[in-house]
Amino acid sequence: MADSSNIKEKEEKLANAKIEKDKGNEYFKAGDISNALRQYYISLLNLNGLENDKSFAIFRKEQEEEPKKDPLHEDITKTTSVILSNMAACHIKKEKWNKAIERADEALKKDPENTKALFRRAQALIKDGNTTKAREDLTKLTAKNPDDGAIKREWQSLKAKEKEQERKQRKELAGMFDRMKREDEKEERSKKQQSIKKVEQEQKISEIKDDEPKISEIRDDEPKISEIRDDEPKISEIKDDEPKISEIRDDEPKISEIKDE
Amino acid sequence: MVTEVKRVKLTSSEGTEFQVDRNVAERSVLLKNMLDDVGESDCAIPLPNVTGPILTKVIEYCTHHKDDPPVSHEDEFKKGSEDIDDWDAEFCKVDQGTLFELILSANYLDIKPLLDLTCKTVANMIKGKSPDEIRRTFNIENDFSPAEEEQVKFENDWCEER
Amino acid sequence: MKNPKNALLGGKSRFLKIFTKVINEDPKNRPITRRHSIAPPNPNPNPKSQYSNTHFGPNGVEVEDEGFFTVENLITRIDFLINLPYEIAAYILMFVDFQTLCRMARVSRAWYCISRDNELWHSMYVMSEGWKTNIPKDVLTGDVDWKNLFKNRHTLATRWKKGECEKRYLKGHLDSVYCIQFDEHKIVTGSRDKTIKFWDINTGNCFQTLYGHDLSVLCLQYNEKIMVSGSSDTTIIIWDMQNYNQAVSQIRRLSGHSAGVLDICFDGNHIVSCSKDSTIKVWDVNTGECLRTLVGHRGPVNAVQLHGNRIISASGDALIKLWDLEKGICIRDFIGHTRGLACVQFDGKWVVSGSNDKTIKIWDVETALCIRTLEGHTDLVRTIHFDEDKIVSGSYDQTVKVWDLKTGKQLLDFKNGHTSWVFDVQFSTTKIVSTSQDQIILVMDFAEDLDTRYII
Repeated sequence: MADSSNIKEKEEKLANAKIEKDKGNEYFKAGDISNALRQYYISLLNLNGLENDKSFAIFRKEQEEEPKKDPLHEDITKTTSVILSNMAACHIKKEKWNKAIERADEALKKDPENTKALFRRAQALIKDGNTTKAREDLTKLTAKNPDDGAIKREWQSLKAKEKEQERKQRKELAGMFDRMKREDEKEERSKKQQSIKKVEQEQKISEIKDDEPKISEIRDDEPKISEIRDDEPKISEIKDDEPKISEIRDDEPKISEIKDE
Repeated sequence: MVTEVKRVKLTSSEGTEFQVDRNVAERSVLLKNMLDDVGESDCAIPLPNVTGPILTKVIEYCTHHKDDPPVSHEDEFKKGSEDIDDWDAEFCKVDQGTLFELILSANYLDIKPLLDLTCKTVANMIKGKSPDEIRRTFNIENDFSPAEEEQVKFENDWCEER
Repeated sequence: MKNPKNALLGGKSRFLKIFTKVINEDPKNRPITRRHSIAPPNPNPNPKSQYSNTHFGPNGVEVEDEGFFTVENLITRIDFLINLPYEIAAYILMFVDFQTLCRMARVSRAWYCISRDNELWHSMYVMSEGWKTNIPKDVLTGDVDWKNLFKNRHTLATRWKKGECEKRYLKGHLDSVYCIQFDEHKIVTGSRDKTIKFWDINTGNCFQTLYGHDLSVLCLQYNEKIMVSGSSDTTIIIWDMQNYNQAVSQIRRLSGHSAGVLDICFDGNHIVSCSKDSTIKVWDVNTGECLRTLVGHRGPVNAVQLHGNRIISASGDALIKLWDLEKGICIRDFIGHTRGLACVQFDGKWVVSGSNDKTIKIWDVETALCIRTLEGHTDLVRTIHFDEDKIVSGSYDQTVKVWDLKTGKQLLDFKNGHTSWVFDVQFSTTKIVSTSQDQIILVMDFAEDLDTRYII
């Protein structure tokens, strides 16, 4: 459909996006993070929505034709990924770790090979304290670039972060022990009260036990029930009403009678 | 009741400038993120992938819905496609071209309620129609071979059983 | 900024191009009119007035001339699904029903492909009320053919609606079959011939016969670990079920009732039994100790069920009683049946009962009020089983009937399944299994030929 005639328009927008992105990079280098972000947004506004012909690719695939590699679309996707990754860098500068992680996630979704985005996500994850995920990212990075100094530095900051967390945990644990100690002391102080409580509890249990005879009392009452049964004409009426149930349930003689019929 | 209304400038693909209240612009998650991240500026935000007519419609929608509480997608599915209020239904009485562009713009600007509304509208155009009626509605060519058509019919006949 | 004129042309939206194309291709070359001149004069979202209030740019008026044309008797037509990004196309289809998804497959090749989107059918299945799955943990949900699963589940539902099923009879008991329980592998039955039999539910072969009771086996219940059975011989036997394929041994035999054990029910801690001796007994499932005896019914207690801390019982005295398990006291009576009760079931909210007065009653457990009375059986209602949608009942009138729990409407009536009194019935998503005085076990399978591996 409008596919081929769109190419020029797309090329133009891609070119615009790159210009805006470069402006953003200039601002970033100059330390003007807000304006850099603004330029990146504007750049994104050029690119978003340009990759809209995915349906076609999928249908081609279903119809067993090789989906053509479209260099223009690839460029759009890669550029989008770079912009998102740069936005992540901006958020790292602003110490907004969550936003940095979000943008880096998006960048990696567009282009899983975007090493810079992966690196930035690792950085943000370390700062945010998510050392488990950061470790995953750094492991991937090291596999790709074993001698990269920046990555090695991030490994160090990861380890530092882990140590810091450990220390914190230990402190918290210690705090807990302290609290427990204090509670122990309290407990000892209130030993008397405790023992009183225990006695009360025991009493309660024995009370419950004392209840049981009552049940047997009820059992002893049972004859009365049968008396009532005998007394009450209504019951025998009911019984007469549902001979069939007792017939089957208690199956035996009456059923055989029926069967004999 | 006089509060200072913050205005945001937007430029459509043709270069036409629009001014809207910030809370109207913020119906777009993309614009909201941007305004949150970089603050306000006197420069207009260029929207190179939205034309003036469509931006006009989008703004009309966002203005009407500027005070709506957020709704989750899942609630929308549960409500189903029939649940469209009168104003929204009237808003969607546009030609297919406009509707198409509205969907793209809602997606581009990340305005989920508008995306839901426009997608529901298209869903309602498909629902309850025979294959032939669908083809006529959207001007689609039947590109199945007779054998394929028979096969596809056979494959999907179970849905007609009641 | 771009030169506005260029921008106008270059930025021409897709719809305008398609629009132009349509006009050019229109054979009749119908007259073009301004949209608002043919639209009904509806003041509601009148763009012009809206715009002027909402501080639009000065060019707002031009906008109307630009984009809102239409052609009389001809609307712009766009193949939305093909021209939108795939995610959005799939999103649109989240709002249609399965029937539309099937029909649209026949529109064109492209529509065929998108109509089979697995995620779409997945959510379609999940959003269908009451449709559950038991997909094993090692199977990824993405690997399941959801359209096929949906198709099978739908066919199953349709067959239930129509009552279409394959009937199979299991023969082997030498006398009346009183009680039944089944799962996806096996059927277990108890009979007046004093035995309990295990049947392979797929082949129908009897692969295990248990001897132990001295008289009729009237009731049984099992889980993965144990089975508990009650008999006219007044005892309860606890069986070890862990190797039921090889051997089922007796763990313990409980005595205490002075007449036949008519029904039993157990959970992780307790066994509850009821008897012709008019009592209900609560036993410790692990030690076999009788914890308490509930007295109150004035006739044989024909049915009992345990639910949390509550016991529900139904007796020949025409009463249903709700009991507190721990305290052993009767909480309330459900009064309404005019003759003795044969069966009762309780799901925590609703109580359903069947009686010699030929009716089924649905009760609210909190108020003990009868919500609905289902009439249709022409003799004693001997057994019922219900879930959140339906009730299945079996009667001395030899029929098995299916009812809508919410409306009380009779949905299905199986008249020729048995040649004598129906004693017990249980159903699952795919089957109804019933037993009768005619010594036969009837399996009604609604899922014949269907792949129901993941359906529960």
